[in-house]
Amino acid sequence: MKKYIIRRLLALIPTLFVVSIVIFSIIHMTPGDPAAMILGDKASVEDIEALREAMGLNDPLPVQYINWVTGVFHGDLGQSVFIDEPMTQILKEYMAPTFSLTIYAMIISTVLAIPLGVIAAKKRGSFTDQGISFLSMIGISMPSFLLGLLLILGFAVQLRWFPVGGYKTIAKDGLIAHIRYLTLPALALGFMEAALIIRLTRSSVLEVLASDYVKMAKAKGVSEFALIMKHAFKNALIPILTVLGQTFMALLAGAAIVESVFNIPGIGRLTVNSVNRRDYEVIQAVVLMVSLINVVMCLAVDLLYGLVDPRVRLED
Amino acid sequence: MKKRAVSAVLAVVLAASLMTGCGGSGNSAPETQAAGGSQETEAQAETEKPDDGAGTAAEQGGDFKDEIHIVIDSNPSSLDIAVTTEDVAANVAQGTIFEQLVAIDDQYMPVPELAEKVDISDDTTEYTYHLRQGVKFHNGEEMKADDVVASMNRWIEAASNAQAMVGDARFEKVDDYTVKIKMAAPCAYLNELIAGLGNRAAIMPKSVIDAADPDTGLVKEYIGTGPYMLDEWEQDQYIKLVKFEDYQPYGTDGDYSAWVGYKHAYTPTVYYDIVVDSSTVIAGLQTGEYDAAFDINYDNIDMFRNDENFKVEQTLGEEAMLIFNKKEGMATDEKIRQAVQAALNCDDIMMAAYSRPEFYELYGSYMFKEQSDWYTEEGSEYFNENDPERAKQLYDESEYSGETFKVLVASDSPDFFSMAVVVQNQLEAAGIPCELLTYDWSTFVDIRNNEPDQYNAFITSFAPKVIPTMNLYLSSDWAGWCTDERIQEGLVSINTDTSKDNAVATWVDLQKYMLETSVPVVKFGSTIRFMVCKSGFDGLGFFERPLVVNARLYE
Repeated sequence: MKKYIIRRLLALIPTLFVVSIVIFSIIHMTPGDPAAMILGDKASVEDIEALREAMGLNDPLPVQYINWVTGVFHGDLGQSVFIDEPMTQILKEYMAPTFSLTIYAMIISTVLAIPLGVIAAKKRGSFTDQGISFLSMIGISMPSFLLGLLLILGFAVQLRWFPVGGYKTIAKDGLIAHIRYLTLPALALGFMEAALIIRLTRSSVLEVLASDYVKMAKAKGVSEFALIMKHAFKNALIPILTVLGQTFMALLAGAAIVESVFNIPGIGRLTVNSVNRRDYEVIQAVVLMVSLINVVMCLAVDLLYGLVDPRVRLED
Repeated sequence: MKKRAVSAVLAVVLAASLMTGCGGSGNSAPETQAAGGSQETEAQAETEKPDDGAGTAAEQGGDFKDEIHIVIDSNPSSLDIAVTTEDVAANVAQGTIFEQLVAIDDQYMPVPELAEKVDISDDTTEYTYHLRQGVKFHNGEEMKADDVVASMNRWIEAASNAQAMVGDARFEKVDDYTVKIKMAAPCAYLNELIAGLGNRAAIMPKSVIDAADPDTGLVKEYIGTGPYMLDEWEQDQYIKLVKFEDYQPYGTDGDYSAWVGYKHAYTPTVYYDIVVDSSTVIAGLQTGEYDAAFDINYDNIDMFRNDENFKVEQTLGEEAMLIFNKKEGMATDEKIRQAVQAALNCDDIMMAAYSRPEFYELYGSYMFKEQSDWYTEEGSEYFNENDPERAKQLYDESEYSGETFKVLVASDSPDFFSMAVVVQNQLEAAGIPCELLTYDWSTFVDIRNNEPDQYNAFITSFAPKVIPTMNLYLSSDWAGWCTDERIQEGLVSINTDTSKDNAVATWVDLQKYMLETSVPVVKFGSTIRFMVCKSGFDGLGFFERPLVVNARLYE
C-alpha cells in the first residue's frame, strides 16, 4: 500500500512537468501581454514595447521557462504582475472561497442526491421516481449561471433571504455570514452535479437490487431497510465514489462561472482575470496547483475503493 | 394517495421556484433605500453639472450614511493613474486619492487645483506654477516643489502625447512652492493636456516615486493629496477609500464643477465594489447592496427611471469610431477610406449597438457639441453619407479593388461587435467584401498594435478631449498611425499657435480636410452614458465618472 502511494506520488512529477510545459507554451503563444494591460488601451506602441523589454517579456521563451521552473524548484511560484503579494499568499487567498464553495456545493449535492437516488430506485416506476427523474433532468439541462440568476431573482431580489453576491470570510465575519453568502452559489453550482449523482445512484442501486445475492437476502427475510442500506447501497457505492471524485473537480472547474455571477473572489475568477490580462505566472501557478489537486483527488478515490470494497486490493 | 401527495408537493415546489425565478425585478422598495428624491424621466443631451448645493434630500435634512457603495466593472491593474490609462483606475483614484496641478471643469477648461495660480509667458514657451501651501499628502508630508517636479516629469515620461508637446523640456524647481517648465517651442495647451490626458498627471510624494517598481515603473503605494485615501484593496472584491482628515479644500464652499472645486468628503467611507456580471449589478442595486452604478446595460435604464427609489444621471459618453490602419494594406489608400466612409449608414450602426436614438447622437464633428470652442460642422456632408453607389465607385477606382476589407473587433465589447456586424453588412451591400476578425480584448490589443498586416481597420471609442490635438487617433505613433503630413502639420500649428482664434480656424480647415479627403477615421456617433443611483443621493456628480467627493446618501 505504501509503495503504491509513493509510486503514485512520484508519478506526479512527470505529470506536472508536462502540464507546466503545455500551459507555459499555450499562454506565451497566445497574443497579448501584461505590458499592454498595465498601460491601458490608449498607451502608445512604443511605451508598451519599452515596458515589455523592462519586464523581460522579450526574452526567448526557453529562457523565460527555465527561469520560472528554476524558481518553482526553489519554492518560488513566481510573481503576479498585478497583485503585489507572494504567489503562495495569492493562491491561499483565492483558493479559500473556491474550496468553501466547492465543498458546500458537494455537501448539498451529495446530501440531496444520494437519498433521492436510493428512493427513486426503491420506488422504481412510481410517481415519486418519475418526479425525481424529472428534477434530475432539469438539473442536468439547466446551466449553472442561469440557475444562479434565477436564484438571485427569487431569493435575493424578491425574498431578500440571501445577498445578491459577494463573499465573507469565517475569520472576519463569522460562520453564519460565510454560509449565508455561499448558499445561493453553492446551490447553483451543486444542482447539476446532484442531478448526475441522483441518476447514477438510482441506476447503481437498481443494478445491485437485481443481483442474486440481494434476492437471496430478501428470500432469507432481511428487512427492506437493511437490504437497501447494508447490501444494495454499500455495493452500489463504488461507481458513486468514482463520480464523487470527478464531481469535486467538475465543481472546482464550474466555480469560475458561478464566482462571476455571484461576485466571489475565488480561484476561478482569478484564472479568468489572469487570462484576460495575461498575468502569466499566476495562470501557470493556478494550473499547476489544480493539476496537483486533481491527481491527489484521483489517488484519494483509489484508496477509498479499498476501504469500501475489501475485494479491491491496491497492488504493492 | 401518498404517491400523489409527494408528486403534488414536488410539482408545486418546482413550479413555485420557477415562477419565483422568472418573476422579474418587481417594484417593491428595498428596505435600505431612502424614499423621496427626484426622478428623471427624460434623457437630456446636455452634460449634467454636478450638484454640490442643497439638493432635495439635503433640504429635507436627516442623517446620511457613513459609507456608500459604487460599482465598478473590473479590478484595475493598478491605481497608478500617471502610468496606466485604464479608465477604471481613474474612476477610483482621480480627484479622490490623487489631485493634479490643474483639472478640468464642466466646460472642459483647465482650472488650478494644486496650483494656486499659473503664469504663462506671452509666447507660451514658459509655464510657472505657484503651488498651494500647506497641502498634505496622505503620509503626512507637505507637498512641495520636489514632489511636483518628480511627479510631472514622471508623467511626461509615461505619456507620449505629453512628450510630443513639450519635447525635451522638463519641470524644474524654482523654490519650495514654485515649479516651471520652459519649452523650446510655443506650447499653447499644456494646461489642457495636464488637466485632461489619459495618463493623469497625479501628484505624489517624491519618496513614493523613487520607490516605484523598477520593472513595471508602477508605484507601490497610492499616496496623493486628495480628500480620500486608500484604506484597503481586496483584489476582485472592493477598493475602500476613507476620508483624509487633513485634507485642505480649495476654492469656495459650494463651488464644484466637473473634477474641480471645493471638496467636502462628507461620506467617511467609499467602497468601489468590483462586480463583473451586469445582472448581479442590477440585482444588487435593487436589493440596496450597491448605491450607485454606471454604464449599466441600456436595456435597464427605463426600469430605473420608472422606479422612484432611483434616479438616473447622464453625461457625455464617447465617440464610437472605425479607425483605419494607415500603416499597411488596403486602408493606406485614400480611396478605400473614402469608399468605406461613403458606404456607411451611421444611424443603423449606432442603433444596433445602443438600441434607441436617445442613447446616442449623430453629427459629423470630431469634437463634442458641448466643446463649443472647437465644435464645427465643416465637412459634415461626408458624415453618415450612406451612398453605396459612390462607395462602390471609389472602391473600384482604388488599387485594392477586389480585395477583402478586414475589420478587427474585440469580442468582449458587445457594442463594438454589434457595430462591426452592421459595418460588414453595409460594406458588402455596397459591393466591398468585408471580413470581421474577432478576438478577446488582450489579443485584439496585441494584433492592433503589433500586427498591422492582419487588418485594415478596427473599432473603438474615445472619451471627449479638451483640445483636438489630444485625440489619440490623430497620433502618428498610436495604432492607426495617422502620418498624413497635412494633419500632423495642422496639429503642430494648433499646439503652438498663441492665438486661439487662429488655432480654431486651423482645426476647422483640418476637420474639413479629414472628412472630405484624408479620412483617417470614420466617426459613427457620440454616445451618452448613464449612472443609476439611489434617489437619496445628494451631491453625487457624474462627469465621465461618478464624482463622490461631495456625495451624501440620505437615509
